[in-house]
Amino acid sequence: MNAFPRGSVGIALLLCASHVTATDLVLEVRDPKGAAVSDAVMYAQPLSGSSPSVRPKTRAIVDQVNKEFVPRVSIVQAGTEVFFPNSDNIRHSIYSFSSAKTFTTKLYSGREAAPVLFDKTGIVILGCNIHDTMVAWVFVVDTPWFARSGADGAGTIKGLPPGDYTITAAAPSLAGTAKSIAMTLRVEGTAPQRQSISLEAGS
Amino acid sequence: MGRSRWLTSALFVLAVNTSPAAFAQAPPALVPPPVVAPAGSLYARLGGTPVVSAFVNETIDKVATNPEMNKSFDKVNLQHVKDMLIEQICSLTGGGCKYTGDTMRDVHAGHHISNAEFFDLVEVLRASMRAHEVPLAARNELLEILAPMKRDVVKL
Repeated sequence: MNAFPRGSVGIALLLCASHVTATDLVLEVRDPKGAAVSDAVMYAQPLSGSSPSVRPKTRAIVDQVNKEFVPRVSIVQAGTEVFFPNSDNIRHSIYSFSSAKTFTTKLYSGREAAPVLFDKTGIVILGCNIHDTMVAWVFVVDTPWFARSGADGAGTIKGLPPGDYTITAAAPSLAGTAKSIAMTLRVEGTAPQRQSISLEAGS
Repeated sequence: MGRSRWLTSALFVLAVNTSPAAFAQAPPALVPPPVVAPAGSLYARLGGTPVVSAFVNETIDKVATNPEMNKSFDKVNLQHVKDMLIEQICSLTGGGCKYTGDTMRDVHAGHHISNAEFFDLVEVLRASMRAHEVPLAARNELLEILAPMKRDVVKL
């Protein structure tokens, strides 16, 4: 039996090659009036082929601070465990009825809760049964290439191999006033690439 | 290719409506306490579900809107608190309910409730029971049942 089948050598070379030529994509998200949108999520999906799958034990954190979720908007790859620490140290009762992940988890003062595996793509909206003003969004995507915008509306998707991608941007804070948007984009070279994305008005 | 296209469009459709109302429906409805309380029970002598609901709702509304007492009720879903309290009183007084809420210790931990806040709430509850004409003996029996909970409420 051959210990090194030809296929695995090819994959190793491909991984090296893509690592060397990957680039960073800086996306700037604007609302329909041209203002920078913070807490927008954006992700890149290759037009052909599939995205690399999630690394095992990848984790994300959604904390509870002053009876708010922090961060309010997250984006993770399907297969990620999300941890819910509790900086408030009072009781919370987190739930989601979203089809991508339906769950409840109770957070008590001084006790750690088990993480929750987000294994299906879609949008998970989180609430708290105790504090009904709390709301957060977790976008679960099938790609490791994603980012969230900062106060300047910009986010960087790191390490994109050259190729054609669908880029999707969404801003849950603008729900009802701006639609999410998808566009195709060619990524090439190694220099960071910038692209501005304008969300369309609508709900 | 076909598969990735499909996922893209599926995500795109999902991404359009991100309002909480569209996804985060209300938690499942509680089983309501019985309208007719078992005869002879303290729950029945308190006045059963109509009266217990009335004085619990009034107590929570008063405490949650009084700036001296409402520190622990900031952003709290008051309907949930009321439902759980009614259910718990019903369960503790022979009304035939099963309490489905958290322990009093888990509920209050981290809120640093003072003795004064605890006794203020008890006073509001007593006044509210009187206002709803709960007989004296029944009022005292309920307070006797609730009093030992103080250790699971204050200074946690």
